Amino acid sequence: MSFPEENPRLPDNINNSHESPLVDFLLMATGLLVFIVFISFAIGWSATWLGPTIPFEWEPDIALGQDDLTAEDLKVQAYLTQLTQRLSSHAEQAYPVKVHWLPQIPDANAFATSGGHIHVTRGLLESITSENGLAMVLAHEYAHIELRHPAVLMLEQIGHTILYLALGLGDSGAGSLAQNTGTLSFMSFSRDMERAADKRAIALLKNEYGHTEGASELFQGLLKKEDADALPLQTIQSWWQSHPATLERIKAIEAHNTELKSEAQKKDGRFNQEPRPLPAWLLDALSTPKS
Amino acid sequence: MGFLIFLTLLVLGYLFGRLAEKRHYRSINEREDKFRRITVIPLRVPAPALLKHDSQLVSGSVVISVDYFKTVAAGLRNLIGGRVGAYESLIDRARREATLRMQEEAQSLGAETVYNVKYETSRIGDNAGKGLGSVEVLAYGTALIPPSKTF
Repeated sequence: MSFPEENPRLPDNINNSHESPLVDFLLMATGLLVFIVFISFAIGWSATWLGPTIPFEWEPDIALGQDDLTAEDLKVQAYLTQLTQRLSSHAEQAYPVKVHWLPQIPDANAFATSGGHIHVTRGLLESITSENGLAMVLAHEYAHIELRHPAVLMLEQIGHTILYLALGLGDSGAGSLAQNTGTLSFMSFSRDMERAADKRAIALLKNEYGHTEGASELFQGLLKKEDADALPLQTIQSWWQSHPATLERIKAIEAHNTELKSEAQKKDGRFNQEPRPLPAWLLDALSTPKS
Repeated sequence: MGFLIFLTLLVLGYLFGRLAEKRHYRSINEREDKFRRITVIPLRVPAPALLKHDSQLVSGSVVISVDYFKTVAAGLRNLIGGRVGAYESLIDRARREATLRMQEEAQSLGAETVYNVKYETSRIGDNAGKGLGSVEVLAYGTALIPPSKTF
């Protein structure tokens, strides 16, 4: 047996293949993305189809209303409920809806939750001056309930949770890649729901007022707050958002009114539809600062 | 925002990881040439000619951290199986570096060869449950030193 004088120069590619890691990574990542997009859309479509078949009574009650409302707050809440009921009375089968007034929240927001609950914040009422603007928001939230979006969302979330658990990626980098891709398709479905709710709200408004004048008030206000320079980027930004771009929503609302206007002008050349102001007592109540 | 952070980490992980790997391989190749005559033998029993040599334990250990890109690539590989190329280069570098450090110690003792070489590999930290973290490779063996060179 002979012993070596020196260590051999081993071939460099036995223990490390030196393949391009980037190509390998891109192939795997593309495969995962295609898979996630496909499954996410399958979950979305199934949820959209299955959600409305779940009986409304089965929806769990999720309400975030406050218990310590003052007499004035209760009056505001009753007004909001009444306006919602007026709008929903135009639906073939009105869903029982409870409106919650959130006087302590300064951010402009309104949202519908499972079980037929609509929430309206003080910030939202403060940024609206017309009944039609408020009616658009309430009709939009009612439309979410009527179209069974809380049930659809719940099914989507369950589907996505099961998907990520099954993939077993946890919160690793690859898990983050999968979740971000899932979020993109999830947001796409969410925007579709918002568009559907806007469309239904416009129909309810037309039934109640005969026009949609003033309905875009809240969105016009939001648009003013958004950076005008950033508008061209809205399409790209909106991919990551649960709601369509503000400009798109305004255009959708105004398209209906333009149609009505041109019809009216054909008839007698006039279109005298003015939005109704909010009741004076409500504006007074809102001008009182809330601690 | 979360996705942008993820992409930034991924790109930085790839660029810096590749740069560090390239530099490390260059250094490994240079030092392997330098220590080529300090032979590394896995046999337990020395050659008859070395039986009069003095012996001493020598070891070399190294800890190498995995970069973000490798963690993500390995996570993806876990889904479909196959060779985890991202980790192969890491382990290869760690093993060769540990051997070189052991040889360096052997050379400082005046040894001609290291017998009964063994390796141990362990994971240090689990990268907060997000992957391999860092890997430690320990190489150790018996340095055989000619009697005249014993300190």
